[in-house]
Amino acid sequence: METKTIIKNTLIYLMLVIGGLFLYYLDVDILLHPHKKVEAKSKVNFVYQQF
Amino acid sequence: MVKFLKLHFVSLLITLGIITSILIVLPNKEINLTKASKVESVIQSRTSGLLPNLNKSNQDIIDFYASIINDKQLTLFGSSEFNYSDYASYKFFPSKQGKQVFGFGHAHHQHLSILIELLAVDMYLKNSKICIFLSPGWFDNNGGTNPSAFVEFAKPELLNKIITGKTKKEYKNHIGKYIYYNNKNFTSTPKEFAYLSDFYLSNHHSNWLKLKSKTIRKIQNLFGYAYYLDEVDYEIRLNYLPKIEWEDRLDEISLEAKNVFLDRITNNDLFVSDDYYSTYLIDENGKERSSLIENIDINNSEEYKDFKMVVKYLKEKKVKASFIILPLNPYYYRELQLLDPLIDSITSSLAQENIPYYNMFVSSKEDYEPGLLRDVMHIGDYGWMKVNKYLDSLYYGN
Repeated sequence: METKTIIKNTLIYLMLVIGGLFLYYLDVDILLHPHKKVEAKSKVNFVYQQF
Repeated sequence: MVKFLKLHFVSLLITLGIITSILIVLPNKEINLTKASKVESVIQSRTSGLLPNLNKSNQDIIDFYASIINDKQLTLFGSSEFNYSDYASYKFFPSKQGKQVFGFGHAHHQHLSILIELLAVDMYLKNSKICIFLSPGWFDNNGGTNPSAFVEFAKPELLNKIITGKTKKEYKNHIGKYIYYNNKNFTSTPKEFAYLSDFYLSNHHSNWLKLKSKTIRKIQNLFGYAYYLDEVDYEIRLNYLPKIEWEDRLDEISLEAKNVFLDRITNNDLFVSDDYYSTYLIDENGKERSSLIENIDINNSEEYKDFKMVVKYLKEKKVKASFIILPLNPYYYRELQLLDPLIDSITSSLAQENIPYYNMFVSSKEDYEPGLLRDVMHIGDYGWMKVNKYLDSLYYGN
């Protein structure tokens, strides 16, 4: 009974950790559209000011 | 309860063991970056003029490459002083003398962006002629390129060339470091950003960051098909301007431009244009503004580090490069002498590497020649003519 629970928990943890690693380190958009041209964008757009 | 926690703890340990084993077993090879490169035959369309950035079309990138390749063309790199004045070198030389001069950049186009552009054309630099317009304003507030300017000028196409070319490790690291520490300021990033950021991590002295980089690479290797970079090479047919017979009147035109500008000033003693003075230099209470220069910590200045990188690279590649150090208006800026150590460091670095320069910066009113600037920091027609005279003697032997 204990072994069964450990296997079940281990599988859940494995899926969670692997899923987490993939989400953190891989870009799903790149995987689905490897040739898509991605332009870099900045959060803040600096506007040129005289001063 | 204890038994429940114990079961979970054991499962967690086993999971970590499995994950670690998988990561150890996964190959730690470099991602095979490029597919077979495509070669396109294209034609240079611009032989002169000003290009603010490479964003409009692919032809902009082709014309930028062509400007570097074309040994009859001088390429100028600069920022907000680049305007559409008829006296600007990229308009004056082509229209009066039939000499090819091309200006590239606009405000915030600083050393890091210029370094990236130069690295991207590494293989074409052999015969190129380059001049960089350096503004002391770039070093303000510790200097450095802002993320908005970075994404505008560090085009993925250029980074692609840096990654897939023979760029030295230290330059990739320098760019990767910027991307890594500014990642939070970007909302979307192309693969090239991720690659260079990871490159920086993989060479970092921190073991933790190295491990992080290794983990990223191993996981991305599982999806290698998605991390290829499409490489495009151009076979460019260059264009040339017909020569124009020119009677050397540089000094005469210069003086004329200076007098016209100074004669038009009626409302200020700062030697700036009337419009500029009333729009920017008068505050809401009708008082004249002025600005106090702050001390610059050269050793910790990001802009200075970028400058050193550019100089090092130009020296390594033996490029026919020069610098124009632009002035600031001492009638507006107070304590300009605080910038003297910075300007001295810049000029001695250039002199040490035998890179010619024209230093227009002065820190006192006595040394300033009214008319050089049209406002507090941008060269006017007379300033451009001084630059033209310098470029004429340096690149055309006149």
